Amino acid sequence: MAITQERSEAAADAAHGISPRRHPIAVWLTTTDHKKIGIMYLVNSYLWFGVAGLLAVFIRAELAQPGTQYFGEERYNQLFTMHGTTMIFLFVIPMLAGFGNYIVPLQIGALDMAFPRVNALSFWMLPLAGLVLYSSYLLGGPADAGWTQYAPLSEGVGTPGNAIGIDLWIVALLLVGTASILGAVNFITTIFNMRAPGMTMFRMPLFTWTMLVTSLLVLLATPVFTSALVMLLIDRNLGGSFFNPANGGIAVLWQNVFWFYSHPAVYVMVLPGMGIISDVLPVFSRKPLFGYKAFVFATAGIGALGFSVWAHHMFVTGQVLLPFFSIMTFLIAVPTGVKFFNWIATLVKGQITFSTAMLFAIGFLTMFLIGGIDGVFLASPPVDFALTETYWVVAHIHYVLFGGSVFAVYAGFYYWFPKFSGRKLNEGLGKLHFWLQFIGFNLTFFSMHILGLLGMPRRIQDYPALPDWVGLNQLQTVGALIIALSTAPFLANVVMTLRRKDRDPEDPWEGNTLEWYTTSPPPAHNFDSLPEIHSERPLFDLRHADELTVHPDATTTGAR
Amino acid sequence: MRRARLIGIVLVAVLVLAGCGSLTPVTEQGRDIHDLYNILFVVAAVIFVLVEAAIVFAVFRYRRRSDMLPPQFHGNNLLEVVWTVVPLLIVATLFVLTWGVLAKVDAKADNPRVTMNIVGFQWQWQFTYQGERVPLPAGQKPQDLTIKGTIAKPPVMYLPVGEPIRFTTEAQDVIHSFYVREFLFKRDAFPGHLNTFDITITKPGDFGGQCTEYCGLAHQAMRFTVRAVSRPQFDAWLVKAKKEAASGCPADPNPRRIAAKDIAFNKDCLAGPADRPFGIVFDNQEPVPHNVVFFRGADAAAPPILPDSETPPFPGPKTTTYKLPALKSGSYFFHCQVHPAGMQGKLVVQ
Repeated sequence: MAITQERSEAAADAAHGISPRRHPIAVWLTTTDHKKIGIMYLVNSYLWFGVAGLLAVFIRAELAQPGTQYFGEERYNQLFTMHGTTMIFLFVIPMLAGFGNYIVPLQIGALDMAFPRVNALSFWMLPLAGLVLYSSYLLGGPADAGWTQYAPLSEGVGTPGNAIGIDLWIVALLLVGTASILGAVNFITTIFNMRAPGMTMFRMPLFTWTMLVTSLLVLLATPVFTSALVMLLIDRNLGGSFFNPANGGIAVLWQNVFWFYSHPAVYVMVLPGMGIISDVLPVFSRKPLFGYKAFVFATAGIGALGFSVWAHHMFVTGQVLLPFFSIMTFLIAVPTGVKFFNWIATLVKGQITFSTAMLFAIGFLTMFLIGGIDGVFLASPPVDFALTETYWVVAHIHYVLFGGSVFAVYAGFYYWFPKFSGRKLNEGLGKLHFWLQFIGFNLTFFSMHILGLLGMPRRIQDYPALPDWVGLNQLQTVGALIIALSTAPFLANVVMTLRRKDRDPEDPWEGNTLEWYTTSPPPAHNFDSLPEIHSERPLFDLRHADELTVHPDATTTGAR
Repeated sequence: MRRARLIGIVLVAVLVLAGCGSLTPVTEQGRDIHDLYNILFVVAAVIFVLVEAAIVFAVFRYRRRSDMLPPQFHGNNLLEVVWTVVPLLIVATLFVLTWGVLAKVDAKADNPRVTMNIVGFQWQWQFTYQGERVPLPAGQKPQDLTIKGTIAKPPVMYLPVGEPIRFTTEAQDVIHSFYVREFLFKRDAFPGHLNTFDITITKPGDFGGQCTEYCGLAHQAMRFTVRAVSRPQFDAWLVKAKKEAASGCPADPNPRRIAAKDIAFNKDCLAGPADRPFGIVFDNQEPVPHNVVFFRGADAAAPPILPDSETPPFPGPKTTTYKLPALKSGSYFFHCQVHPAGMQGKLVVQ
């Protein structure tokens, strides 16, 4: 084992501008330490997850019966707009960026992110964006034109009571977008320039790889979205005429620029989750990831194809070239399929332990598969004519973003919590959490496929009592309550574990990647020393140095 | 066996999706779409069951049984090629099938006998039978038979069975989408862009539809019915509907009274006597401010009949009476000044 980097804690603290005698709150508010920033990302994002989840429960309460129960049309329209916006822009994207912040520098053996102060700036824009977005509840009503804000509806054409709401929505998303772009620059620079000696690109952990591809997507797509937001702001407030045909604009232009960002954004929300799964499955199967390079190429392939499929959200506009966007969308199934087969082959002949993190990872495999397959139906324009804008689409987006991203987020949280805190979460409560969530999720969202086939449109506050519509909606409301309930054992688990005095081992799972080499939690400067890196599993190599002949490019490195 | 039970649950879920969850298409295009859906469904179900079974099998078969380090294999290039090429062939096949069906669904008839001009507005629909002239007295602007819905009274669109019908969709204000469940089809109605498609209905009956592009406050209330009837029944209806359209407000015993609720008028037609003053009673039943402004012409571009001071918008519940002067026989336009797009109609004086 060679010591390749060494810095004293005091020197590192000085480098981060931390003087030793400061109040803990001042330390957190002014920190530029990627780990503290990462924790703040996670906590902030999870709080917004709670808020948006509450809105979802309200939505389901209203839909439990036809007619008006608790929320009239205006309130209901605000609910689903704020639910979608909050989940996507304040929870999923920042949550995964939070894992990236904490884990990526550790996985590549770096001291910190490349631009620690920019990193802090990126983070602090997010709670600010959330406050701006939600201040609309006090200032005359939040945005109510859907998270997609289709123009010219979002330009105030005939929507009462939302004058300030949509402007605040635009400002909030400009903040989130700017934070994302800065974060992406930071990740790309960090990953390209700050890898430890021996950490070649093809030895990087898969989570780091997916964060790199994600950051490239963010860097290329988000500026288009922020431009569109500014155009919308100009249209609304300064007499512009980009999107409103009444003033000479083009309505479909908004959808083009919006989806040019928001489709790649789906991969921004899913690829890091795939990365988490690709780090978790090998650890709990005690095997390397099957087809590491194929996986990297598939990730890059999904990222590249992601830029040529945006108009599949617009098949019924009558203003897109259907065959082109159809074939490109079908093609995305291919690299996604490659990933699935690699994941399954990773399990084969392994020694699988069912930790909660592994349960969530397997849950991801089974659920994301459904989200992939039901999306293929929508790639076919004729079938899309029947199913788009119905509950089929609601089912699809939730199988991708909940069955995919949220399951991966929990897998990552249970897996890395010992790294954050030095303590493992309780496995019994964790498994209770998993099964409640798994059951509630499927009750809620699987039946939405059927509701979509029966033709129920999304985004309606009231619906006719057609055959099966009421029963399916009630089932979904029950499922949503079970999902809400499932967070109770999770939160109790986190609180109880943090109050425990005793510590678990530094590397409780026998991890493969560099973050497990240092202490848990790591010191401010991350590493006192670094091992030699010969493969994508440096810690595995160390642990089995006496048993294995390690060769970085070998396809099989002899078992015993 | 837990494994068998899990596979059983999966199979039941798949059968549920295939069985109860679908509508019977009532158009030629809908049938093509349904057939394509069924092909996609079978392929998807097979892939789903195989992959899900592989996951469940691997998870149970290779659960940890000892502390032995399992074989450390890193990959297999042949396998990677196989599971790249096989899905590629599958999606290529599905795309070719899709393309074929798309051509059929998009096909246009040469000379459709019925052309429906559909206009969406906040928040209802207007259906115009293009070229079907209403028999109006000489000197009046010619107009095609138009059915305009209100939230309180959603419109019914009569259509003949067994022949291609041309539809055009557009919108007055924001984007709407014309969707009939049993057609398995929807197409957006855009402001500033006209969409065209053909549909041939194969089965008589009443088919429910509604707007599927979220369009603001009362989006859910943009419902309508398509009533498909035989050609002779359709012709008979056309004659009757045109006559009704020409004769003021048919079937309304109280054509000088109008009410507002849920940001909608309860009717779109008022009537009064020619050449002498009369009153129109307006009953605003909700706290949202409304009024009724009458115009000396077919739209709001004409000068108002009453001065603004006599028609201020007011919140309800409250009733007022508008005293109209003597008017010449003809059709006049009215709307609510606060919600001009959705709340409008005609005043027939005869």
